[in-house]
Amino acid sequence: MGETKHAVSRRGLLGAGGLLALGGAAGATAGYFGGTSAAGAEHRVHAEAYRGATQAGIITPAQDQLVMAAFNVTTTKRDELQALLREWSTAAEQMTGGELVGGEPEENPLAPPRDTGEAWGYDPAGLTITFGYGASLFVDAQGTDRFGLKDRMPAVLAAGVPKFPKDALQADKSDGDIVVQICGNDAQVCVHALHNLARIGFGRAALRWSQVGYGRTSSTSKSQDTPRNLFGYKDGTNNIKSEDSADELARHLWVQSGDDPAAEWLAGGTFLVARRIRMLLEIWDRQTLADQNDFMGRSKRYGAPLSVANPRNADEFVTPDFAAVGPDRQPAIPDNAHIRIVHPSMNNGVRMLRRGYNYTDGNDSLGRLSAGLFFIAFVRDPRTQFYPVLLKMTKHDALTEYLQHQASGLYAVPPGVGRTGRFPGEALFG
Amino acid sequence: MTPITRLSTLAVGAVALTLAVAGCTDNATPAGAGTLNVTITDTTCQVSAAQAPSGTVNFEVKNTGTVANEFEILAADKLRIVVEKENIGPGTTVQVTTAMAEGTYYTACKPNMVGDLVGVTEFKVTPGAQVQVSDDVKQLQDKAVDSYTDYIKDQAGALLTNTQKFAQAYAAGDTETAKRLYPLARMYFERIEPTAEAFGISEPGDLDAALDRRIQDVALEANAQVTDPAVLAQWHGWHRMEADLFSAAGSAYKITDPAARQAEADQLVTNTQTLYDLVSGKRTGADGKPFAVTLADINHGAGALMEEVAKGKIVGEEETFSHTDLYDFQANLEGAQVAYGNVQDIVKKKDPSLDTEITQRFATIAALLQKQQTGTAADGSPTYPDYSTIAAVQKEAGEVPNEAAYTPVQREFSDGVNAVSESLSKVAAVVLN
Repeated sequence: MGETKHAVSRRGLLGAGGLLALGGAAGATAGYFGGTSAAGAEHRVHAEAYRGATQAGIITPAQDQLVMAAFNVTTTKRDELQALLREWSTAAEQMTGGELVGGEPEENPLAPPRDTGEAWGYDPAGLTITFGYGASLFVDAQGTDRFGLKDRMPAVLAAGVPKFPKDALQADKSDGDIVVQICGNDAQVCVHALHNLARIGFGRAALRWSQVGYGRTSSTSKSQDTPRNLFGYKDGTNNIKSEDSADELARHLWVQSGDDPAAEWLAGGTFLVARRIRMLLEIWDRQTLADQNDFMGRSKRYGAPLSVANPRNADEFVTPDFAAVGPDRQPAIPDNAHIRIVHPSMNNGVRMLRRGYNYTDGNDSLGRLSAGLFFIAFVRDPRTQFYPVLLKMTKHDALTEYLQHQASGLYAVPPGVGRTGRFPGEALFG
Repeated sequence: MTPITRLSTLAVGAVALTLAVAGCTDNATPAGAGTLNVTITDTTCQVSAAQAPSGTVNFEVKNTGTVANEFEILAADKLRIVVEKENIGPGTTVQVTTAMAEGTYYTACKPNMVGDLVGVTEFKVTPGAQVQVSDDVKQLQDKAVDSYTDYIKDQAGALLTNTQKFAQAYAAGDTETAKRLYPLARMYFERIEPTAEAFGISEPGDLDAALDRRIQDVALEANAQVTDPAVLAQWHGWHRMEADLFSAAGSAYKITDPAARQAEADQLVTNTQTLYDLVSGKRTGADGKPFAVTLADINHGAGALMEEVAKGKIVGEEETFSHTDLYDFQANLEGAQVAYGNVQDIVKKKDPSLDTEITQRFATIAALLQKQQTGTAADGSPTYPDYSTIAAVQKEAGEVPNEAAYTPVQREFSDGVNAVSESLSKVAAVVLN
């Protein structure tokens, strides 16, 4: 997976701008990787491959925009659920490839158009659509086997996410039967994808919650810069990256055959953990620079860890030296600094692939920005790779004072559809 | 408040090439007479014959390739898809049955449902024997129009007599009886609302405005407060009387003068009589023509009634004083079921799986509504709770509820209505050709 295609858009050829698109083809070898491409403009396509051994949108270099949503499955019939997943997968493949849902633009004037149309003529801009299944797809709140899938439920989902100190979770913004992570470099293309998936779902699945994110907070490829979070810091430098060795990815990211014999269908897949973390920006902003740096463990401007004596000559990629002592004989990186709490070297070497986004949902009724981090991580086993780190964070991390965890989700992300599959997780039903 | 003319216009311009898919299932069923075999590989798309006589054509599509594939029949312009079956798995066989008119078409496949078409091949449909199905369908279409016209007349007649009873109690100051009759009489109007909305005496829609106007709309036009006496003076019809009956004592909405009450009652009956006269052919409408429904009106009616439920009833904005929205909801739903019922035989013939889906989804929403029903009155009419006790609603034409405030009951209603509405939106294309 991760194969990227740069070619002339078929839509450009079919549409009014056909000649223009043809004319642009000669120069269309370099990857176009930008913002909105207006309809009628030269169409050079940056399309991620939908098909692969693993789903796109995990080790794909993190795009700039996120739309994430969870659905409640409303049908009670197993065949209707499978039909929905097939139709969603078909639509996802079409949209990822830069095509209209349903294929062609000329449709029956007596029927509503299959595709809602707001991405018509737009570059797919690296769109990826990733599907995952929550515990409630397998069993309801009473433990009833909803679709005959209970005996294949991964033990990780059955155990659920433990409660953490200071959790302020909102049920209607958490969990859900099926999650869809939509990422791309054009916000409208991402929203279009959710809009159409939701429509296809009517009668079988209904939106439970959705979240728009606008600035990636992690890099998942060594070719990408480290972005900043809304506290103004470069964070998440020690992420799993697509360039890591297959062994490293197998160890930390992909569920391996034999990990969970009852859920062998998930081998080659992964687990997605999501946390909506509200950041109390107004309060954070009033902390002195020295305090902010101490809380984070890094230089705000240069990104270097505080163990570096002169951060001007360093960057965020310098390995932190947690043994370093400052002029005051105290640890240069304080005991409760964020990077000390979460760094793999302080957590038995566990790593995760973080793929979070900043979000801002307007403001609350007190006039504060309702903003923060929509944290997303992919891990082979959250019980060893995520919960212990989060527990430590909520107990000891200096940042915790300025954070509030408002929503939580845990989903099993099946492997990709490969060459011949009809939807991700087909083997679960097989 | 969509005029019924919208779909009629489309129907006139409809291209007769539109076809319906029937019996597309993933299970192989035995191929009958006249079946064409389509063999798909990853790089080819072979149809066993290059032509067929017009009428019902059955394609048995077998994917012998290694990837999921799509089979399409395109119109002569090679752009418009007249029939398609997506996501046919490797090694599976599906049936694609369509009624095809004479003309030139193209068959093609699309591996993985994206990218270029594979094996685009001309396919001719030659003049065949007059198709039996078409005759049947024509008869069914005529029957649908006749019986829906009768239904509208029946409802308008019952509306008139029930309106008279309500108006009498209201004018006489028998508030308790008037309050009880209010939602029941309105049900006859709500069942035929999209049709009734289109009528007018001096212009289309003016009857609906006279009968069913909400104070919010009057105030908006006058750019004034809903309780402004000047605005209230221009407001008449069902909801004016609702506001009087159901608002608290001392409210600006109360009508204290018995003569003014009598005038409201008289005007309601007169306008309802006019509606009935129009529908029953005793007078012509604003366009000088007698009342007639078209097949397009019936299709549009079912969807429009469910739209009414979604926009006005679930959110509790229709009956902002009485909170009798669930009576309207039931009537809208029944009206939609009748409208669909009149074209159901056509859908069954052309797209049986769509019919099954609509029938199931109507049943789901009806069951949800049934759950809220508190009982049945002596005359067989339903009784429902005050909607404001189970839902976040607009009260006395005040603020609309916060988007986050809707209750689980409203959520269930909304999911159910979305489901059936999405299915109903596909009916017109099946019926109108």
